[in-house]
Amino acid sequence: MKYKISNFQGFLKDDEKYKSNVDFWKSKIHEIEPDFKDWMSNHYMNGEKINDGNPLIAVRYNNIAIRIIQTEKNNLQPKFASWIKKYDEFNLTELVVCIQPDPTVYTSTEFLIKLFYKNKYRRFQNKMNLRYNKILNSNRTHFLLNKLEPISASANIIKSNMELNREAFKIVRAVSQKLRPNESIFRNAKISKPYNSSIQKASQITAQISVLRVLDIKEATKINLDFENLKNQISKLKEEVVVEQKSQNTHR
Amino acid sequence: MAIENRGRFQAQGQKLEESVNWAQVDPLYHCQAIVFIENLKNKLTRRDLKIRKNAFAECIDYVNKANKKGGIPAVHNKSFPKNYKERVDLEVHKGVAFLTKSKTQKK
Repeated sequence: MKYKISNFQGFLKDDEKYKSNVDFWKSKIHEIEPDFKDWMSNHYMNGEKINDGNPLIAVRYNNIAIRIIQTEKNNLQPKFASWIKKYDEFNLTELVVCIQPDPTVYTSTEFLIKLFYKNKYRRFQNKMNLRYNKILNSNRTHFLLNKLEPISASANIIKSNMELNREAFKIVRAVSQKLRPNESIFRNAKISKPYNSSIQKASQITAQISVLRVLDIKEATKINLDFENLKNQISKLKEEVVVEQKSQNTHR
Repeated sequence: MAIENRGRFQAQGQKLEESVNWAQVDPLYHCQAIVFIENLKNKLTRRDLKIRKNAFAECIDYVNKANKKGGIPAVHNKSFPKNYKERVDLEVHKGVAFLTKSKTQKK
C-alpha cells in the first residue's frame, strides 16, 4: 500500500479516510510480522466506535506491542513523538508513536517500527524525538515572533483614552490560545526563558482583559506594564534566536 | 470474590511516573474515576501539574463522555494530550470502567 497524503489529511472527519489510515498502518506492520493482532477495545459499551486517532491502531505480538496515535496536521503541535510504555500486568513492552500525516514522518515511523521489532530502536527513536522537537520549537518560536514583532515598540494595549487596542489584543489572544507555557522543551535555556515568559504574559493579559468590564487607570497601567514586559521578552527572544542561528551557521 | 476490574491513571513524562491504580470486584464507577484523577493530581508537584493542566482536563472530559456512552470495556488505553511525552495515561486493563453507580449500589 502506497502513502498518498490526500488519503490521510482530514481523516478525523471522514470515516472512509479513517479506515484507510488504519488499513495502511496494519498492512505496513503485517509486512514486518503478520501475527501482530489488535489487542485493545476501541468502542464504548453502547457499541459506538471511537474514531479519534487515539489510538489509530494498537497491535500486539508475543510480548511486544505497537500503538500509533495520529492527529491532524498542525505546525504548532508535534509532528512526531515516540516513547516506550511497559505493562507489567501483560508482560508487555509497547512502542507508542504519535504522528501527523506527513510523508517524511511516515517513512521515519515505518523504519522505527522495523527497528523496534528487532529491538534496535533506542538510538533512532531518540534521534527522531530530538529532530522533531527542534522543528516544533522552531515553528512555535517563529509563530510567536511573527505575530508579536510587528507591534510597534511604543504601542500600548490600553490607549490613553482608555480604549482597548483591538488589533494588539487580537494578536496577544491568538498567541495565548495557540501556545501554552512550558509545553516546549528547549535545549537552550536562553531561548526557553523569554519564550515561556512571553506566553505567560500573553495569557495573563488575555485573562485580565477578558474578565474586565470597566477599566480604571490603575488596571490599565498594570495591563500596559505587562504588555511592555511582553514586548521586552519578545526582543530578548529575537536576540537569542539570532545568536543561535549564527552559532548553527558557524558549526556548519 | 475475584477482582475482575483493574486499571490505572498515570502521569508520565521524561522524569515522572506517578499513578493511581484500581483493582476491585465492582466496575470502576464514574464517580470513583473522578476521585482517582483528583488523587493523582494531588501527587504531582505544581510544575508537573501545570504542564498537564490540559491533559487532566481532556482526561476528565473523556471519562465523562465514556460514562454517557455506557462505559469502556478492557483493554483500553488513551494518552492525553495524544501527542506529548509529558502526559496523562488512562488504562483499563480488565473489566469495565466509568459506569454510573445506581442509587441502590450507592446505598
